[in-house]
Amino acid sequence: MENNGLIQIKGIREGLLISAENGAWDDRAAELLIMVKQRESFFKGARVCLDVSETPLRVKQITQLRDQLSDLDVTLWAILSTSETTENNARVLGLETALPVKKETIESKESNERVESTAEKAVLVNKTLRAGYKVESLDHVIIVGDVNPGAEIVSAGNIIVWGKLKGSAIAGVQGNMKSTICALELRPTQLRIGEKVFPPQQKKGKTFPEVAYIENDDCKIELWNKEKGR
Amino acid sequence: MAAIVVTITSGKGGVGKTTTTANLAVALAEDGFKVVCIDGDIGLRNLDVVLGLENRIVYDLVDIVENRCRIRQAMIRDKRLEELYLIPAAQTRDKSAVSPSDMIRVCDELRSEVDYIIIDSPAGIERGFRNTIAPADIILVVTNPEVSAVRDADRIIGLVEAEEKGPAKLIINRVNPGLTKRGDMLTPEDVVELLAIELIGVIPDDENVVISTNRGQPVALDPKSKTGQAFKNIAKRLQGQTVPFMQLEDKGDFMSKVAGLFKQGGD
Repeated sequence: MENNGLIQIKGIREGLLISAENGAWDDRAAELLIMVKQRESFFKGARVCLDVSETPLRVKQITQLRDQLSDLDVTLWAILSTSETTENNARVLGLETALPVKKETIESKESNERVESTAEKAVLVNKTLRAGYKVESLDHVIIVGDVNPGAEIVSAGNIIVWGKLKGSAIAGVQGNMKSTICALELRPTQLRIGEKVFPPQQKKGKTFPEVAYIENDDCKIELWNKEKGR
Repeated sequence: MAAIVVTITSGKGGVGKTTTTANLAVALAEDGFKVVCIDGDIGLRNLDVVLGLENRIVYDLVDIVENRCRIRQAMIRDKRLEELYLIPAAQTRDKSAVSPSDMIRVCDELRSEVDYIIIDSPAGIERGFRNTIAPADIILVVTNPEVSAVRDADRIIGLVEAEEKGPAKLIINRVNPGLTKRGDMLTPEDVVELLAIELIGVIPDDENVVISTNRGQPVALDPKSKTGQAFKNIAKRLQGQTVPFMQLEDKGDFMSKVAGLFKQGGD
């Protein structure tokens, strides 16, 4: 079949892996749709994972392609990308952003880079994280907004929530036990630093900004106190 | 006329999407608008049952989409109200029989003919949900004052925002003032605080709703029903009117007294 080489298809355990890594996004999307239409019987009912390489995609671009594919009875269930924008947007839409196998390789690669991962970079998220939303980063994570129950933050560094932390937060995910988690209101579903899981706490009434950290292998939570220089 | 498409959704099942759709449609039709409701729950249709129109179905939404009939032919007119119609879901198919662009097409065709299109969404966040969200101008999220329902509502509100269809508006259904007063149930304020979207209606917990649902007579048809009034208030707010929220206290006190009596007897 004719194709400009923008698109490659591979069968994998989870369905079809379609790589569309080069060229303008509109061209790639158009070509993919043409290909699916031409081989309708082959694609009908298929579950597709799309690798877009480093292309940053907006939510609208993803939903458009997803709906167009869906019209052709093709399910887009995952988008692989090295672009953080694309990954985040795909996640917001409830799509996977990694293949199960690939995930492991990424993780093992990450743990080899443990030393580098404490770099003082941070991801800033300027909105409330609702249930089902996950922010994952090797850098520090700062949320300006609430983290609702059912939302999750995973960071190799520190986590700062300028709002209510009611969901789950894992700091120092690669073993940096000096990581801290702080929030204006700390009422998490679960709190973890490295492998340490904080015991659940019941809080009623008004709360104050607090910081959670590990000291001598103990889980500590205390009121924010700038003198401590944390 | 250019219709407003309102989609009723929730994430969790059993919180009252279909009941809300039926009653809102009735309330809008009573206010003199031409209303079409569409059952988006293909394969598990029941809006027809709640509206009492089950025995009049000839064509359904999938017949329209697959060009077996014109839209007009699938619109069942409600005999109780002048301008209330239902497009039922297919019972023998599943969600994949309709796509988001099909739904947009059907609604666009109806837009010039009616005032409101009310779409009942299925539970879940998959294809059926996306089908019903795609054509929406306004999305109403129904939840109960229960932690699990609120959690799902939060997820749905996030997805609606991601689809750039937000901000959704909130309906809290089955509020029991007796229970909330004793601190045994989330209050509407608790729910609004967590979900942080605009509240458009609070519906009391009312056993008459079960009865009316079984009879195919939405409570909004009953002029004496307080619950029916709560749905009518939502209809008014949708039209842009300011209607104060009903005080649920009085009935709640009575209900909790009754409940209290039973509790004493039972323990």
